[in-house]
Amino acid sequence: MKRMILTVFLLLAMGVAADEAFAKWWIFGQSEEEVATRYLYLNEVSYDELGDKVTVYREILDHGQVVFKGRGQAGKNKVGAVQISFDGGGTWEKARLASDGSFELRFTPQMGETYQVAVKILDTAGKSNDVEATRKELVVSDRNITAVIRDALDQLIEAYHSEDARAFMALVDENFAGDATVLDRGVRKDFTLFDNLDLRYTLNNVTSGTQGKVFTSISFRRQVTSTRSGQTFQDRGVTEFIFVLNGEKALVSAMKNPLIFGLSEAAEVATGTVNSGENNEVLIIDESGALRLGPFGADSDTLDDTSNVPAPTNLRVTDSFPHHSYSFAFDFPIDSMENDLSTTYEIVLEESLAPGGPWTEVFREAFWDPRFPNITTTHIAQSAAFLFYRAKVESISTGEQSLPTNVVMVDNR
Amino acid sequence: MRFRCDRGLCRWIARVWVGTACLLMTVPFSAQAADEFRLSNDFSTTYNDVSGPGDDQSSLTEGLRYLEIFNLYGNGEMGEVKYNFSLGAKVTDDPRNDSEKFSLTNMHGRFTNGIHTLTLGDTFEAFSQYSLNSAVKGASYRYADPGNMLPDLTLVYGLAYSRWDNMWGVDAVERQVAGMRLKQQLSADFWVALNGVHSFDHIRVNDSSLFKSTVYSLDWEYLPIPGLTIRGESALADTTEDFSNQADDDNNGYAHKIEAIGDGGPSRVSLEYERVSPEFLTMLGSATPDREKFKARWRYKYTKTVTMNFGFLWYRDNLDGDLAFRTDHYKPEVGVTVRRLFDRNYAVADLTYKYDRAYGDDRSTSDHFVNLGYRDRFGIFDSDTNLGVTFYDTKDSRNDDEFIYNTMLSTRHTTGDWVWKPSLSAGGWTLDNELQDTRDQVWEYALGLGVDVPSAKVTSTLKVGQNWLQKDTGTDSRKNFARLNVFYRPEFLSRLDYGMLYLRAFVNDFDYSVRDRDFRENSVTAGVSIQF
Repeated sequence: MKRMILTVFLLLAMGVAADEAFAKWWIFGQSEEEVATRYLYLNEVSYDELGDKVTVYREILDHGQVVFKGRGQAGKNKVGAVQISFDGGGTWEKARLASDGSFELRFTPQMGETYQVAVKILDTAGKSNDVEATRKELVVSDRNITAVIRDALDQLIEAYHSEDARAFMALVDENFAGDATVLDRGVRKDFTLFDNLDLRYTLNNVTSGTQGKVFTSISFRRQVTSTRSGQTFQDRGVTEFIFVLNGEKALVSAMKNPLIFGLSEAAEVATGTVNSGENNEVLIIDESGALRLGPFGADSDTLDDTSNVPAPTNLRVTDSFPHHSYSFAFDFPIDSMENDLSTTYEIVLEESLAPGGPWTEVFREAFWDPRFPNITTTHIAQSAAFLFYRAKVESISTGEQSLPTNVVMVDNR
Repeated sequence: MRFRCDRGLCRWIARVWVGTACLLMTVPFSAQAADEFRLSNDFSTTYNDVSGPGDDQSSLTEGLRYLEIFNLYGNGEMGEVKYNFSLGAKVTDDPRNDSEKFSLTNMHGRFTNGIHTLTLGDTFEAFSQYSLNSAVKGASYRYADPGNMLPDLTLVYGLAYSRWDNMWGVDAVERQVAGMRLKQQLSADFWVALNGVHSFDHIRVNDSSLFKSTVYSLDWEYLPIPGLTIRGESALADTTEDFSNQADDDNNGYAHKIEAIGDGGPSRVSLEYERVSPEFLTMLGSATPDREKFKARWRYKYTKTVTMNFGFLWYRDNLDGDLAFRTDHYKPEVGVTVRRLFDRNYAVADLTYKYDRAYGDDRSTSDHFVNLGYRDRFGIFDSDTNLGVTFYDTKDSRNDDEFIYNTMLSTRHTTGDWVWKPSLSAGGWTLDNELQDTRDQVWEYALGLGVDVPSAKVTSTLKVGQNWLQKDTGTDSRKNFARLNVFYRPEFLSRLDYGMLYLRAFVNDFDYSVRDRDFRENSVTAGVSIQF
């Protein structure tokens, strides 16, 4: 199968290669003798790196202006004039030109308008650059940059929910700080490890900066089911992104821990850590692909499960009397008909006012009958509106504890 | 060494910063009216209903909830000084939306006379990748005078908080940041910059580590010939990690990066080499410690309709030899995109192949990824089909074949004032585990219908569908879903720059083979969004 697919791929590639090329592949850079721009920036972003369609937003304009800065060259001659057109060559505006060929032009655009930009360099003999190669459509959007970032996050999450790696990677900058190919592998691996992913977020902060970069902080809430264990995990936290603007899109350029995408390759994908009090326990994938909730730190992605105590899973609320008592059930991997556990383990219930902790033990009893693993507690923080619970199993002889279950929330109002 | 800061003092300093920022942002109002002033507001109310024995698995908050998002923006001039400012806030009673009822989402003010620039509030001065590539809440000052040869100077001071309410309500480690950047244009084609960034954590939250860090870096860019850019950065980091329950850990590391980008004619080529030592920890920049990397990309427009992409990435760890094993990763890839295939005007095909090889003394993986996509128009139907095949081969632990396939058909018809946009999508995912001889499968299909009435300024989409997860081991599940979105721009809101009423509703019905996990979510949201 592998060979067949590779063969088909090679045949297709050869078929394409048989077509007639229109340009020589070895052209790299340009000749010093040409009349051309040595470099050109539009609001601090390289003009070459912008696509055919450039969208600028109010927040990244330089005091409401589009600024062209560059330097022309003319081989043995001198640069005589630099002109920039905003109507496709109908009229030209003269740029301020220095003797070394560097130039600057500031233009105040109308919000919501579209301009056809072209750049003309003329040497003192009247020879011009290839103006056609400089043509771009400039759209001055009246959209709020926050709306653009929200769209980008919505599309990323939609692609992630539908497990579409191709659509997801189309929203990632090719210069992604943790390497786009590593992130691609990370999200594909996530897709095989997660079921029933539910990821929601709210924007905390969007700040635009230099070079078309946009800093974004979000609070997220996530729920996933592990394909391996069937256990459901919930966590929440705060994380940060850097986006770069490309056309009408915002593309992800960097992500910090705790990650919401590409968790499977966290050590390689994230390039920084958000030190927030809300990131106490977040979802972690260990080397074997097992999911767990763990205390979050810069090196927490390498945590391994070294506990010898089997972990309870799938904690759920079976009965609730707000302010009085709550009952829970959970699953346990050992059947007591074969293993007498009454003198082996205790079950421990922990409570918190936040899903990430800190946790307080509120209930403990001998693990009498694992066939019917239930807990009922009356030791509850009565004044809190929302309470969070998780359970662990503890070895009576060694005191060693298992991994905790998923966290469940109860409405205590 | 232990870092201690009086919590009250730190909070007091933070509040002075916020107060000063607020005060300065009122200056434009008192001096003269802003030249441009815009306000946008989005208010929505949501009713959620969750039922079934597994309802605790839902992440919705039951009952009636609201969400209010407010933003204002303005700019203007006071004599020679130009300014702009923005302020945003969010109010909600849904704890799943935000743990705080009221949150300030952004606050920013900027004043400049063309040479001196002062920024207050949300400040994002991206110095360089290794030194500072993160926003702070504080202030920055920039001096840049193109009329003389003096270097550009940027100073930053603030708190690296994710949220404004970290200052007064939501606990977080308080990371104070001070930084300076000095950039000198040495010739028309060459500049160099020196960066120094110091960060200092206060207030331990949930036994987290506190860091004290100083990063010095030098970055530069050189343009030797037109279309060719060479740039790089070298950085040193001195970081102390203060654990809550063990001795401090001192880290001194370095990072170097050099990159060449050639852009001319049909080719765009980039080459990059990076080496980051295991002990290089940057608090506010971006870097992956313990990595040596080489990356190459070549995008070649072969003809007007054919574009080829080639890529190669190699990286490895264990630079200091402190780990038990070294792991090398090789990731070559090749792709081709063909437009107007078979002389069909709307046909676009793309084919990519990626190979992912990782090996070391304790690890050996060899994964192949093949993806084929095809978009075309057949008569009145637009189609988009994607097929992905991945072979995962990890020595002694994994031998999986994964298939992903999805296709979408859509069309558009106009009947009088009504525009109908029906669509059909179907897809699946299969994972064959050859070692355990098991197969997991997901199937999904959905029917969509978009209805637009341009004369009445109404757009809408409706999508209903179902997906199944079938596993040889574990719990099977089935989900039925329906989503409805309606957007209406009524006449009475047309005097505003932007005004829209919207309605969003969805139903998710989860059905597991283990009955006590079944649950159903019903949600309806109605809102109004305005801008003037």
